[in-house]
Amino acid sequence: MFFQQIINGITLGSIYALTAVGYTMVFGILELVNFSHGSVYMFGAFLCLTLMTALGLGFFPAFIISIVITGMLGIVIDRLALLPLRRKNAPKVASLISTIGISIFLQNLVMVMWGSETKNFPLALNLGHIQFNSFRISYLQMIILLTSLILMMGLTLLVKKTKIGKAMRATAQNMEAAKLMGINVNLIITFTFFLGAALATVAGVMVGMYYQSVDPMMGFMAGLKAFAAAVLGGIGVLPGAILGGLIIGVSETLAAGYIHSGYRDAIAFAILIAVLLIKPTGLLGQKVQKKV
Amino acid sequence: METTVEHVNKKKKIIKRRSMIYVGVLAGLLIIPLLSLNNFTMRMVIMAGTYMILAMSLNLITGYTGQLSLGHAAFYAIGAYTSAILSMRFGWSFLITAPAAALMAALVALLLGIPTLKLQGAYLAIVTLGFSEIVRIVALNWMGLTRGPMGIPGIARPEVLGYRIASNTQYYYLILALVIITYMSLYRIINSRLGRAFIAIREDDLAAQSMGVDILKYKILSFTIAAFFAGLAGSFYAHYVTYIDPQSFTFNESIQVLSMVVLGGMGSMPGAIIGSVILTWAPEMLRFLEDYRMIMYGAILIVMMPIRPQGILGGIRFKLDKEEENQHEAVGSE
Amino acid sequence: MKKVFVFSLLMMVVLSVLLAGCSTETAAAPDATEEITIAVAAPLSGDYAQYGNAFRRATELKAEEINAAGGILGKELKLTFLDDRNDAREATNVAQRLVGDKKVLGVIGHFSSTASLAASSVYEEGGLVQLSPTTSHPDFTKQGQYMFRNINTQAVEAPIAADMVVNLMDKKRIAVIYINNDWGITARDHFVEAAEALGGEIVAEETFIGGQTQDFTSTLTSIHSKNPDIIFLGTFYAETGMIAQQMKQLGYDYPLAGLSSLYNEELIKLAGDAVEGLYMTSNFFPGDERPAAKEFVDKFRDAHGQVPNQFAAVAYESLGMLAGAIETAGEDRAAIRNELAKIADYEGVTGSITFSKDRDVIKEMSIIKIQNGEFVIAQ
Repeated sequence: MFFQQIINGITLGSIYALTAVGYTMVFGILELVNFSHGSVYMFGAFLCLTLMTALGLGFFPAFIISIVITGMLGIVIDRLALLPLRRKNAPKVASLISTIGISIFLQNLVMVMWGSETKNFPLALNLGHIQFNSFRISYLQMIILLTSLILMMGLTLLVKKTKIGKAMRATAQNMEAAKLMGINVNLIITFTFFLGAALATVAGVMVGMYYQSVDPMMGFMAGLKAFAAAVLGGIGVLPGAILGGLIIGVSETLAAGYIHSGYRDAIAFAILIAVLLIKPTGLLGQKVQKKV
Repeated sequence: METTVEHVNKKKKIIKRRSMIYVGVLAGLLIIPLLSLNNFTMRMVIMAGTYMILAMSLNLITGYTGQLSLGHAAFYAIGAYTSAILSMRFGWSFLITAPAAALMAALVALLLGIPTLKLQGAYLAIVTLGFSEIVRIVALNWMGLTRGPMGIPGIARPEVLGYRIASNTQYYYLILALVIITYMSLYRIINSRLGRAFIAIREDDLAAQSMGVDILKYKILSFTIAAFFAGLAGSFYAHYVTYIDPQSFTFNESIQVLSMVVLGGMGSMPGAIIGSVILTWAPEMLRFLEDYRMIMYGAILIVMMPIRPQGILGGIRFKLDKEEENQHEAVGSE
Repeated sequence: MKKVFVFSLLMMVVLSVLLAGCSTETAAAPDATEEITIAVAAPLSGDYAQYGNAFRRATELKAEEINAAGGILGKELKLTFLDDRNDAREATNVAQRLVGDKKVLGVIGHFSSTASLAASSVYEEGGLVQLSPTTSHPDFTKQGQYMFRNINTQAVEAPIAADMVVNLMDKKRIAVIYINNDWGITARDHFVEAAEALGGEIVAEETFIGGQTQDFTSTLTSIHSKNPDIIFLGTFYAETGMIAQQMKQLGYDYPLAGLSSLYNEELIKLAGDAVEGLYMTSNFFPGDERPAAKEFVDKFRDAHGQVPNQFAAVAYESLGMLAGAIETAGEDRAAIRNELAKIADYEGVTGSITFSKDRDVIKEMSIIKIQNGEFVIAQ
């Protein structure tokens, strides 16, 4: 039973990690507590489902189109809601409230467009599983973990090695200075938002497929857990998001399995708080976070 | 430099003008029920009053001390539950349960604040969010104390000095009294040495520290005082609606109150009041939109922020406040 | 004087909002209106919107029927829908609005206990009938004389389910998964009590927070370690789909049983063969042969292109009963309440309905199961 529980925990953790990678990406650059991530994640999953069922597209074309469209949505969100705030040098909390507005807007829009029922998401990648003695692992579980690791490494390379990555880091460090160095800060931020929304879609679709269901509220808890995982790992630290996601997933699973299923989220949050008391900037975080 | 006599005269003049304004506003507020508004309008005004207390208290943490809290609903819930349980189990009256609820919320905030308020920014935000989830989940599962999801129905209506409060008009005067108490207390705090320490932490915590402000101590104080008033609001809510359950204190409540503070203007008491009025009314005013109601609510939040990022009344300094501050400075320099 | 200015501005904003609030409310007296107004208060947005929408579709259908047959008291029946988002505070606001609107003669709602109980004191004080099609909280109808429900409490349903599991399915070692809300807790309590009395053994009790938990693998794994014969579900269809899927993914093969809350065509779409063989109690399902049920299912399918679920069915007949009470009582709220309380042997789509003196109902239940991807009657 214990091995199976660990596997369950790692799977749940990799789902959180997958969502948290995109979250921490935007978070690291803008230092923005972003409540719209969860609803973008949900939107991406619904879009992909609609492309598959209404237009009859195959899984991969639908997946890629929904990533691109939702990425664009990320740009629209930035241009319409957040750019005007940056222009006015608004406090960070103002942007936070804007992201809450976006999330309420998107959730209710999806509800009006697609209805409020929980919908079946087809298991497009039914690859079976490996059976061990007392536990089993499905290939889909491994794909989810691998995807989050690949995305993490890809993004790390992007940020560390490419020119645009350098510009992103410069923007994160000091927006004004970056501007003076000739970096088109708004373009960089737009790109970051595109990337963040695209990553949210990857997560939303994979999770929708894993649970074989999507509903308009699915992004709410996912967004909070991604936030928790990103902070636990250290804000803006990509490997931290994976680590944070895994810790929260495993602790939640073990809490539900061995302590009390009703308290699972409470125990996960208690562990999060305890870790932050010992390491106030997250497990892998280093620099002191500026005020939000 | 002014002479002492001039100084005293000027101060008297300010106090006089200020009290005139207060008397005017108070008179206006007292006659509201006489406008023979219907019960629905009165209920909305009362709910707005509850949110004013919550928003003003959160404003102390987020607006004045500059600390982002996403868990104000936790203290609201603790206040409501303390009050409901004391009232149901021991039959205590509102005059005892309300202060007990406020003190309980303050005590919990103190215990939470001591270890966690050294955290900053998003790290503090997630801790407060997590804590409020923990409070809700404990309330859901600790059946013996809170009756869990069964909730607590039939909470007694308040009795104040042998006078039973039951109609919306009576509740209106009760919440008005509580709002005034909250406003006056917070106003005094903000315009005292304590309040200036809070603002110093918000503006530049490093500088404040090097000036000898014990930032952790002041953050804890700010947090505790705010929780005290949130607990008071919770107590009122429990005795007003007479039914509470954990569903009523979700993360959305924290978000709602934070939106009121930010929309009205961080670091502005009238701002918190206006924010509460607008966001309590908005969902009701938008009912004619039917299914598009909440879409519009989201859109309003998105559109309002860029128009006044500092909030409706944020950054507006009142002339009298300035004069009074000048007085303080003058006194300080003597 | 700027402060005075700002303050008066502030007061003006407050007052204008107040006055605007008044004007949104219809203060008109129920004079010679040509309409009878009944309100439907339910979550039309937020987590529970799908249930509110079931209320809306079903009551709209019923209102059309009533109006086609000449309305109530010769007047046209008008429904007004109010969204409570399943939020206690908003439900009380809605209640206060309805109580103040003299044209409203009765309320169908609210959906969940949170909303229904919070709003009940307002309805009671305003003397307005609150007929909830779905609130099963045991305290609900004890809140006052104006509260009615049109659903079995779990005190009635869960023992039937226990009998189904222990005797009909012949499973003795039972694991229970229940949703952590008032309905789930009362379902668990009554189920466990009845099952133990019948000789069953409860080997595990697991819970989860609805809408918040998607992952049931750890719960299922720890249930697996207790080696049960069956898993009993005090849940709704959306979670049940996930539970069944995840059980299959983990390679466990336990029979499943549940309550009438599971009846929804979406369940089979969500979980496919993972829910094959699931047994449940029911007081409404579309395969029902009774004419009232058949007619409703056909009409609903024609109007909305989908098969109605239990929530739609109870909302549909709730409006029927309330309209009937108004027809006899006239446009008087207190008389409507008294007339509604007298209803006995009303032929609804979920069977014959009689309000007890506590304004609760006791409905007959049947047992249905999922066979070859369809709900069929089992007994």
